Amino acid sequence: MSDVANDLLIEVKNLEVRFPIRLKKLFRTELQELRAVDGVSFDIRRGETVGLVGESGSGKTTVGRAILRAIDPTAGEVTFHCCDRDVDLAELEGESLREFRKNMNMVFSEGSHSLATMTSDMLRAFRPRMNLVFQDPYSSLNPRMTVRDIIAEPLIASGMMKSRAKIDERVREIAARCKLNLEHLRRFPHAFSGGQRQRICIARALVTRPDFVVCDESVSALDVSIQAEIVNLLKDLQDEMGVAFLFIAHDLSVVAQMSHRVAVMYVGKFVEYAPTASLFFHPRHPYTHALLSAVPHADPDAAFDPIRLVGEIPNPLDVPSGCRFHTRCPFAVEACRRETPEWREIAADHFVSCHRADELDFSRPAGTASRAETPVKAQG
Amino acid sequence: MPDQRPGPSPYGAALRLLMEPAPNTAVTAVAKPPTATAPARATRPDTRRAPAETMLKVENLSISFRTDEGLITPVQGVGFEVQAGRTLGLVGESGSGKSVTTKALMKLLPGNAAIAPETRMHYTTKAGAEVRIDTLKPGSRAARQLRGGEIGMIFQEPMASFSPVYTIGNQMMEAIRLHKAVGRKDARAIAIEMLDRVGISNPSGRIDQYPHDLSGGMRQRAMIALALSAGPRLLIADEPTTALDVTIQAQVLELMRELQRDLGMGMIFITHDLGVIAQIADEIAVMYLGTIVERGPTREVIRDPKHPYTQGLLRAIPSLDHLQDRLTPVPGDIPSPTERPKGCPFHTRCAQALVGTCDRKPPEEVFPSRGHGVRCWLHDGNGRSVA
Repeated sequence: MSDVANDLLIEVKNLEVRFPIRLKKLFRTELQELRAVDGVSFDIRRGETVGLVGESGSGKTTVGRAILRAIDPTAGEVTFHCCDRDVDLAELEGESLREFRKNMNMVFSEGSHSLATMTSDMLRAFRPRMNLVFQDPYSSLNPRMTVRDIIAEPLIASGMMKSRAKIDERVREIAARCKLNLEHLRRFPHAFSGGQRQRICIARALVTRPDFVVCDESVSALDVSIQAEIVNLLKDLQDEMGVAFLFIAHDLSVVAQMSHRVAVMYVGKFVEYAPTASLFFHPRHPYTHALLSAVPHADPDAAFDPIRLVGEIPNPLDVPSGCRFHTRCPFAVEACRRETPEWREIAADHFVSCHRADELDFSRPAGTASRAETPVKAQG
Repeated sequence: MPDQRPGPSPYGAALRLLMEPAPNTAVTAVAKPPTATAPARATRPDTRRAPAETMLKVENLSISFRTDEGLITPVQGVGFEVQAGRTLGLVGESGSGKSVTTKALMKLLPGNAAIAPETRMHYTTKAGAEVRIDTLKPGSRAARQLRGGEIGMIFQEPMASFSPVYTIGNQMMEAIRLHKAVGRKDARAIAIEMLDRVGISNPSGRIDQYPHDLSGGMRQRAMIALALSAGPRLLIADEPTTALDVTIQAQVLELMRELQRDLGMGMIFITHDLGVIAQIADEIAVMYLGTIVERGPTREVIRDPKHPYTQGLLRAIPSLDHLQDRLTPVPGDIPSPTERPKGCPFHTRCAQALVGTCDRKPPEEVFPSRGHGVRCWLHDGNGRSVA
């Protein structure tokens, strides 16, 4: 797990996703653009887990879906380094896009989509080569299909395997890897507990041997103990199969266990992207620092003094000028209001977008619950 | 300790009291029955330092449901106390009976549920009267007064608990006017004050908005304002922060602590997040399959957990101090309530289970230290570890 092969799997460059929004005014309709993702660049290596955190509405899910082309990106490039050639995902269309999806899979969160729209629109549009695994393992499994049929569906739909015997063999293999009881393959989902259902979802996502799986809030709905099991399972499967994960979650402590590198997102942009230890112990962006300070410790004596961010997360229809975080940032200076900070590599592999990243140091000592003293107060 | 009322019909006097307009600042102690304790909120003392007054005492609570698969008992012999101005944290996995327990307190159990006859739930009202919640009829006037007026509740999903077709203010005013004899105008003023209290900016504008106009964190604040608008003495919060982002969660936790300090409310806080519990609860009760397996002061239970299940739960939580770690789950799955194991409910997953003991008889509660109770055969009658 520790030695991640250094070759690139996915490269995302200036990814933008905009949604047209119709605002009904008295006598006219105003068209506005919601920039859900506004210029995001990062890469994912083979067999690596990249964690993606941020508050709800920051665009995490949209990034995951845009990479898989479940949503069409408005601009930007997503390059997938396949076995023999590089494919620009943003250019793919029709049959070749479908062909390509065999290599990727997605573990979806429920998000704002109801199950109904998900099945009718998205499933039909993308054909069953995409496996959908929702955050809620209760609503994402068809109650009328047996577990075997659920796991086999991506194989059949993608046409990877035709013979029943081969499909059965593959399903049993992946089910065993996901620690499902093979006796249970004939049962229906209602007979399973939350943790077991999530294992079924994972088996379904991995049955086509994808290179890349998006896990969107896949463990958020589970109890701590089951959550721990699923996190361990995902790590084991990654070791065995070399699959890369984009692990989207709002729970930072789970992300800390799962990921090799972590990206922090705020209103459609990345603010920081760094190796896990670097990000959690030496965050450079005030927003990352604020997020970390808000995680409650299971230690009644640990200082719990979350940094109060003033105001609400900005409306993506009306993004603040300059640095997007300046309206809530305790360290904002005049430059933050005017100029957009550039996305720069401040230390090896540590990217940040903050004007003051060089002067601010939020490091906290490793292995202790205490947090660093708040640095220079510069109330703006 | 509140004394038990001897009479067979304890809620005659209570009913009369409850029907009176709930005192806003609670200086009224008029028709106080002679046996009742003094009202807690008379002077709004700093209840954390004041000698804790027990407002809710639950003994031997067992709830069973008649289902097609027979009688299942998701809650068995649960007992706990809530003190004014203090918070009891109820921890457990889904299916452990946390929510059913609080629904019993609110008299919100479905029709096929039955509370066992040996159950005792004593509650002291704002006015100081004592009510036996277990004997109240769910639809009775007294129960309706209790629900909301005396015991407020916050749910996990604020969107699901607000009606989408009425404005926030409309729903708050309805609650206020149900429990207080005030006119529309005054109710509106109280509602605006409450919204302001929970930190919603521009409350007089927000009050006329619909729930969907508010963001998640604001909605949860509005939910808290709604629950508090009738001035409850006890607040039950069922996973109030689980659906929220960490930053908002931190704000809501701080708000709840602050409100509790100011209003002297007792609180039952249900969550499966031990990090949250460590920050907000004074006492913890850990539930497993409908039984409280361990309870005690927060610090003691977290620092020195006695029950193997509590120990397992604490090991399973990911921490920010150990990155890319393997987590340690509690082995096995929680059994379904229809096939509740004999003896200690946890013995099927317990690594230290004693064959011939743990699978035979359910352990009694023993106290390793004052106020710290555990139900486990590994601890003997004096609370010493036998293993």
